[in-house]
Amino acid sequence: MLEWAIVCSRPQDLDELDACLNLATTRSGRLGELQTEAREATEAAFGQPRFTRLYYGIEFCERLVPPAAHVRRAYEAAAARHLGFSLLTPYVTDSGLGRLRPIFEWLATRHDRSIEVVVNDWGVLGLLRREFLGLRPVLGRLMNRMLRDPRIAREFTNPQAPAAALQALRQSSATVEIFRKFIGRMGISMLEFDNLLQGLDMNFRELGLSAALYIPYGYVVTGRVCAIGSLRLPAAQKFDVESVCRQECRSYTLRFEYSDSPFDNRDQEFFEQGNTHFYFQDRRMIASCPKMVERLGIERIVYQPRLPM
Amino acid sequence: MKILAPISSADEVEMLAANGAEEFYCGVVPREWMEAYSGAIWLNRRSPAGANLATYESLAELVRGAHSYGVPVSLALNAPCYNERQIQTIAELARRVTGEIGVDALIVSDVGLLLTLAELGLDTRIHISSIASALNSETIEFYRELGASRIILPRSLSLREIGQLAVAVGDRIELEAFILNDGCAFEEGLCHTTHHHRVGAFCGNIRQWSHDVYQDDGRLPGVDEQDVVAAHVQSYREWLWYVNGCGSPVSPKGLPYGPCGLCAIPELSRMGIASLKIAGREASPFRKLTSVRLVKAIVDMVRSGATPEEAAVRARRIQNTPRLCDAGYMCYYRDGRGA
Repeated sequence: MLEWAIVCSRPQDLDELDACLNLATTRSGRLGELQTEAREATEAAFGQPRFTRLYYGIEFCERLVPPAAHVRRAYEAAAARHLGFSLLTPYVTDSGLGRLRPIFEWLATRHDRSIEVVVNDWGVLGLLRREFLGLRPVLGRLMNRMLRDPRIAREFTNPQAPAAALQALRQSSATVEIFRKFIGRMGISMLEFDNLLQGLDMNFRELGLSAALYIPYGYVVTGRVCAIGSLRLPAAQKFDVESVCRQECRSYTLRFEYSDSPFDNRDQEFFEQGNTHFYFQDRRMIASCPKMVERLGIERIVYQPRLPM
Repeated sequence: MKILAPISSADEVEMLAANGAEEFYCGVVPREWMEAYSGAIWLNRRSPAGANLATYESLAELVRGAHSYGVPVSLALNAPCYNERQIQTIAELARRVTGEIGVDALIVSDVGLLLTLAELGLDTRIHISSIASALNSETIEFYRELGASRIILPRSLSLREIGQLAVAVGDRIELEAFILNDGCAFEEGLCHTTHHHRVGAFCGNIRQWSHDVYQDDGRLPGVDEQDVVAAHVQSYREWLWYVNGCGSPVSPKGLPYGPCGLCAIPELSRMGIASLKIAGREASPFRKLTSVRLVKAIVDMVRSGATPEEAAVRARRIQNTPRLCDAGYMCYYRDGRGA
């Protein structure tokens, strides 16, 4: 049976949790339109989702790692609604590892085998394996390094492309036997994927893997230098990983129009929050999900009611 | 601390080795790969055209030439991700280039490939590509336990962070740091776009795109706030211009343009960094040559006991782009900027 998880990235998202679980539109303007379109497409494809798990945290920026007190609040909000709990974690420097450790320490005290930690950094997995064996790691979507370039994905997947090239675009290390054995030894219970424009071509059931799929936002690029961060700093301090962060990403979203494409996809949009660009999966992509879920043996849909920053 | 230079032809060996290159890295994309995958799926991080050798024979010639100068050669097998079929192809390639051709090290980012190479038991060193995003000491330890002998540190790390990593793991594994050319606006290993010639770099595209800004609730900000954000986005585009090489691979004076860490060489040396990487396998022989000479000029000063201040003054003088240096956006290590 398909499991549904809902993503909350910020503490104030928890105030809207019930609205999120009902896929309510909580934003106005273009961001609200995306929420509405995603809800309509999802309900048309799957019916009303019944969420059984809360994802809380952040995949893209160590500066946004929540304090343990916020994680506790999220865990309790999940428990109150009989939802399982997964902590999202980002790629990190040693500083970020230091922020994660107290969260792991608190989660470990729960002795709750349903708690998952979504890792997007091999070092975070190493820390879990060494010191927090009671927390179940999930290999996050940043860990499969598949091409996800909406600018050219459909061109690369035209029917004239060599079969091996098409396969390579739609497969990850999950197809590599020695890799599967390795992650099994590392205690990985699930692998996560974006819903890619070029599609996925891995039968997870046959590979003996559990897989999760993120909708309706996919990420394209992320990096430590934040575009909107340093907004009010002097020019010499802008775009520097050592600069102070005032979390401007949580106040502003930039929408870029892909206006100079050499192909016929000049209507594409990219949404930048902080250090990460996202693409929105349109109605057609979401409509194709149920067949893909069945064909590939995907076990979980991770639904992002808003951009996950 | 060695000077690591990019190379894409045996013809460049003598020129680069004679001018100070102490290590080489290159790539090869054999015909079989191109037949199977076309030019769209890259065997390593660079396009098959220009940046890579096309045959094993040309690679063997390059390696023989480099070894005649005592210069080791590492080979990039650092696409972000391979599937099972690709891994089998690359495993065979790895066997051949290490066993028959004598390549000294393989540059790897994909864990599936890393595990495969370990199982093969090849007599070679493994360098972990910057694409592997080894940003913290735990990740470095992870790769070391899988057989890595060197970590190529991601570009995004500051000098302070590199120093901390050097203290934490520097006694167990070699560290390599970027020093010149070819920046990356995002975390290289987490940029899942292509630089394919039809579309170019995503970060380069952004500089051209129009944008809107929304507040968290989805509404448009007030006019004054929109102006503040618009000015900031313009600054961001300016920063991207620096990261993308200041609009040209070489300056009007013939020197390499773009990201530079020359001022940080004294500090990187003090930290015990094993190798300084000059980026740009696809660059012209002239740009490679001037890049090696620039780095060697500062490395020689450091080796002869110059102070960091003296090295920084010299670095700025030979870069000869004071306005660009002053902006700070051209620096690989802004916290290591010199006098």
